[in-house]
Amino acid sequence: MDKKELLKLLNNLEEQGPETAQTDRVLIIDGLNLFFRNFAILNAVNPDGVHVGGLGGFFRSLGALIRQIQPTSVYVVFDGAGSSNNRKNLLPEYKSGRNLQRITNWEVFESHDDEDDAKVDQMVRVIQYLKTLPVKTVTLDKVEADDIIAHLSSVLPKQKEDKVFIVSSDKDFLQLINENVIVYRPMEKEFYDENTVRQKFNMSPQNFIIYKTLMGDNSDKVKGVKGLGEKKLQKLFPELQERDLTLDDVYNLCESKFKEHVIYARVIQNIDSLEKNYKIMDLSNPMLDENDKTYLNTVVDSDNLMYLPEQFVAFYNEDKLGGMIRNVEFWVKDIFEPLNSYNK
Amino acid sequence: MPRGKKSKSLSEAVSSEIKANFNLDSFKNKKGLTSKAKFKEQTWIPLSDAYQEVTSVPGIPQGHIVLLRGHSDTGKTTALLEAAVSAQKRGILPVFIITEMKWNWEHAIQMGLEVNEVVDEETGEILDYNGQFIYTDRETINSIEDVAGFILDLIDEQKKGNLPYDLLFLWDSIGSVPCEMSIKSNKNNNEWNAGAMSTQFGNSVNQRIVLSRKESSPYTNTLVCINKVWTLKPESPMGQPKLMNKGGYAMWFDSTFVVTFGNVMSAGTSKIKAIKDGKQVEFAKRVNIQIDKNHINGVTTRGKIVMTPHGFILDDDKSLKSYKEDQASAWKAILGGGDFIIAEEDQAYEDITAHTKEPQ
Repeated sequence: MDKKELLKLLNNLEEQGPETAQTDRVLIIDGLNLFFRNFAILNAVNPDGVHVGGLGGFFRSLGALIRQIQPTSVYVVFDGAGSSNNRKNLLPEYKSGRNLQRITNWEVFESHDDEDDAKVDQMVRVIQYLKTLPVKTVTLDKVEADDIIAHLSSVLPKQKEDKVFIVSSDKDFLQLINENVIVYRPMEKEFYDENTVRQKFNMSPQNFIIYKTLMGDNSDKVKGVKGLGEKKLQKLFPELQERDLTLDDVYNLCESKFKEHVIYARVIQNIDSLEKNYKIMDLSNPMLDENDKTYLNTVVDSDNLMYLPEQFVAFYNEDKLGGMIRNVEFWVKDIFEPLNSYNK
Repeated sequence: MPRGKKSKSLSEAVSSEIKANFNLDSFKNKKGLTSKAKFKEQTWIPLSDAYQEVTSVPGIPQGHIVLLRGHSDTGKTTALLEAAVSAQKRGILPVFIITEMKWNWEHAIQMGLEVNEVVDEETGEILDYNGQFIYTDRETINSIEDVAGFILDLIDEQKKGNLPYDLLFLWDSIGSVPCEMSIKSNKNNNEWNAGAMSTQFGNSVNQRIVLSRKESSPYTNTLVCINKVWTLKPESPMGQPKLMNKGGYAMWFDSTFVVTFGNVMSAGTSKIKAIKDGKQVEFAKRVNIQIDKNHINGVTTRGKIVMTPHGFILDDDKSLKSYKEDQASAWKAILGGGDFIIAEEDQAYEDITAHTKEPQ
């Protein structure tokens, strides 16, 4: 390299400016969602005949997610005690009828109560295991995990390149997607960004709340507009594909066209209940008071998390999880040591 | 899996479990991890001023494994004896484990070791030596396992309260005693010996020694080992020969303080003599000394030191002159009185053969 070339190279280096800060990759996990999927799918029992599918599967899934996403921090979020009360005040039937049926049909549980007990035991144990790992376990009384996740996903990206990955099979989170926020749906094994939402639903993530408001959510007992299905929604509201809409925009559209289709008329007739739907499902304004937000911000700022790999392994052996995680000593260090290195 | 109280709903159970603070103290109690973690303040067994000046450390760190290594006649035993004399003065009990039978009581006494001679009243013959030390040699110690057993036995006695002293184990030397298996098969196998060192010392004795640094231990024990060395041939014509420890590296890994005497390919000493009329007294040797490993305070230095039958002195004219004056009367007796000259023989390079593997 001659002198001229060297000077040119040096000039270019100067123009690049200061070194860019490291970007954050935050993994936020809907804890109960991950647990239930494993609990319902994995019929694993330990040598004492105790069902351990939810517990072992939870950590297997958590490890796989960390390996895949390689986050710099991990939050596992759970519903707090009495978490659905706020929304029940708005809509008494919200989430009613849940937990009436067993979610497994294995002989290991003799009754529904037996299954419920196992859920609680394994879930409590999941928390105890999580406390030995450099992950943040978050819950707030009377607050749903969705609201916590929504708040975290809005405050965690500190710079343009930061990414937040929300892991849940709950479609509600799709409305949170933006240039920083990606949703991973484990059932489909697919990452949803703005483009994916557009391809699958023909609308922007911002309009997804309108979609949910009009369609309702059977699993939460939130009723949508009667007679409105996905195809009809796309046909009657082509504006959803074209621009971001507010609920007022939707009313105005329906008012101008209410004679054209009964669905438009039903929207006008059900303004009050649709507004409730919107309030219940809108995660851009999570149901959190100022104290809740302050607490969550403290959690975000806290560091020096506990990392006790030997204790994790001790719990694992105590629970006789055997081969649920292969070579657990290596696994725990392989997965969580890199994560712990960010935790300083 | 511990069963929880069933009165709680899932979200209540999760919530209360998350809020339950992790208490490290109760965790430690539950797991029996409550032993005291505090270590004693570091103390040293001081060696001579010259050693301190050249190495910038006070001497031998107590509660550690210390290696003194180098070719023959480079000052290792001088350092070992300085440590013993200094320990004795401080009420620390020296325990000599002499597996290389080059021990010389006269030299030890000359260095200042407090020794009582047991004399036959009739003949005046010295029958034995005793005093404030423990001495054992190849009469009873024949293998690496014997050395380990002997040290552990004394530590056990100390623990029982039967030996109320800080102990300074002085082993001369690693590499001079085989393991049981070598003895039984009548074949000195270096791999077996190294294996025994690792099993007996690396996994057991050394840990007992360094454990005594903890505040919970009433006594502090130290192990100083002389380690014989050999020279490894360079792998390529451009490579450098390397100083290797005999008997394997278990002790090297466990030691926190290593002093190397002399050079790699030779002892690297030069002899200093008093000469008169063709008679000469070789009274000192100049030698390189280097701290190779220091996990105590991190100081690693190298320099030259002069070793005499009475200990180390500084390598400068003033110290040599002072030593000469102190010893003049003794040398006059040998050299026949009058003035004598101090002469220094050129660097005494004794060719040391480099090997491709540890010699048997």
